[in-house]
Amino acid sequence: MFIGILISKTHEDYLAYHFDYIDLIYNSDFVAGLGNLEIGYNYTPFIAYLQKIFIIPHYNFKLLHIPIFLIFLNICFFLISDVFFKKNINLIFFILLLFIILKFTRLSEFGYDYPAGLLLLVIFIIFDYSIKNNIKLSPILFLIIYLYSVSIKITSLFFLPIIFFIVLKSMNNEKKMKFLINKTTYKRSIFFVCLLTFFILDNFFKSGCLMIIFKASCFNAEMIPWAVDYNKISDYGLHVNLWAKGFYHQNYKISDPFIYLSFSNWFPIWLKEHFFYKVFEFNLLLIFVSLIILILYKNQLNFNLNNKFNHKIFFIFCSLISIFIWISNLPQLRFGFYNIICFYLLLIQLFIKTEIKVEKKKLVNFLIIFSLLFYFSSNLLRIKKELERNDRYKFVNFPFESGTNYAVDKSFEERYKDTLKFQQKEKKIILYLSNK
Amino acid sequence: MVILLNTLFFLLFVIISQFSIMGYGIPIKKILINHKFINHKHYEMLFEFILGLIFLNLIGFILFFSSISNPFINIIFFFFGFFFFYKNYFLEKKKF
Repeated sequence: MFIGILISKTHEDYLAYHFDYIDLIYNSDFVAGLGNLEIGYNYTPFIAYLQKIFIIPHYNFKLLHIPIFLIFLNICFFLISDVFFKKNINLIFFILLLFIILKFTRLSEFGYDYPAGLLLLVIFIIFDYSIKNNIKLSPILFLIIYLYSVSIKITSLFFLPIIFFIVLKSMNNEKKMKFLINKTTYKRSIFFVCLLTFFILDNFFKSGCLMIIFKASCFNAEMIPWAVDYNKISDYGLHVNLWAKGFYHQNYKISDPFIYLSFSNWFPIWLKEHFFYKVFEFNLLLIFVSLIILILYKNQLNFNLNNKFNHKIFFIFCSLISIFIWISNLPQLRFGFYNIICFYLLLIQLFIKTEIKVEKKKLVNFLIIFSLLFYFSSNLLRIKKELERNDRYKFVNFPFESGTNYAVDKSFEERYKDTLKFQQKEKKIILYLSNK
Repeated sequence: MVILLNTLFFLLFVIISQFSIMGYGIPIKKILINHKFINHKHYEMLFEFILGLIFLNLIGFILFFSSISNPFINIIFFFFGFFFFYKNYFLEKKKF
């Protein structure tokens, strides 16, 4: 699977501002108000600070994609180990494994949306595994992974109803009151509090907001000199909202963006331009993979016919709310694919007992090897095409991506000496960028 | 030849990063999870990776906050993580 990380072309936003941001934070001392430099910097993921550690001597910026690739790789590794080595196969994991390998073949398209989504799927996987194997896990663990996903991509907030259910269910395991007053809980919370504090600090020093999507959490420029003008953030938010709902794909039949944002206007266009183009195809592959597996193992399947109102139905209800929140806010596949997967897998679990015993694993092995071969060959073809192209994404640095050529080996102060301001208070100097 | 060496180094560094991140995840896992994963080694490894990733990310933020940007320090972090991993997976096994 190593072939997947040999990319030349990255996703569009990466060179637009994500890479710039890593370049900046690497080449500078600590600077507040970076969000004033470029509005996109306010939305750069927390994982950028991890990627910064991957800058090593001689190779410089060439290894930045490793952590994102490893997230994908570790999920695949877990699912392969579970399906490959265990006597009882969890069909949910088997479907997920084949689907992930067949669908997410191109690391270059991942951006930061897919890694965040994959981490949310990790929460689902961990929870499902713990329920089936009777492993009691602390709700704090789920909250930590969830907060980390939010810190990578704020759209992970769409997963909130599902995480709410998972936390509630895992609190049940620990007995609610006992969980709240437990000494161990406080000890475990330290890691969560650290992550939360650093995430808020990152937001605050970038933009002057504690949480950029909430206007109430933002300070004005009189209080915090590096605070970003919130009108710019609102405008950017509106632009993303319009883009996600297909405003720029309707040839301006409706020219007023605010009129366009009424449900009856954007939904039919979104359905035509995005749903049938991307979401439908995504669902089709998911259904196709699961049908193949369910048909192949139809003799071993046991159906859950007596479904009284139980936690599974409530879980499905939560995932439906997640899908609803996603569609009504930013209905692009990459912002909500994990909700669709969770809903779909939960639906299968509702009707079918997903743990089956497989005596001969030849078929399982064949399907896994087939999907890995598909992953390998599609990446091989991609590399061939990237070697042949003639734009800025041509594979000139094989095996490293071409974007690294655009790194500026200059200190931040050298680049922005005219826009920098100094604030001196009690001999402490904070370097900051003001929005004026 | 250079391409081949670069590719080999890339592969090697991906492997080292994986183990190094897992190395940082081991102590965090011990604090957060009170469970002995006897038949669930792959499950445990997933935790070690995710928690190590988050921990190293926090370190990265502290480094930025303290204005430390040195690629040699970054290398040291990888060696430390790898050492934790090695200590736990190989030296612990030798004891038994």
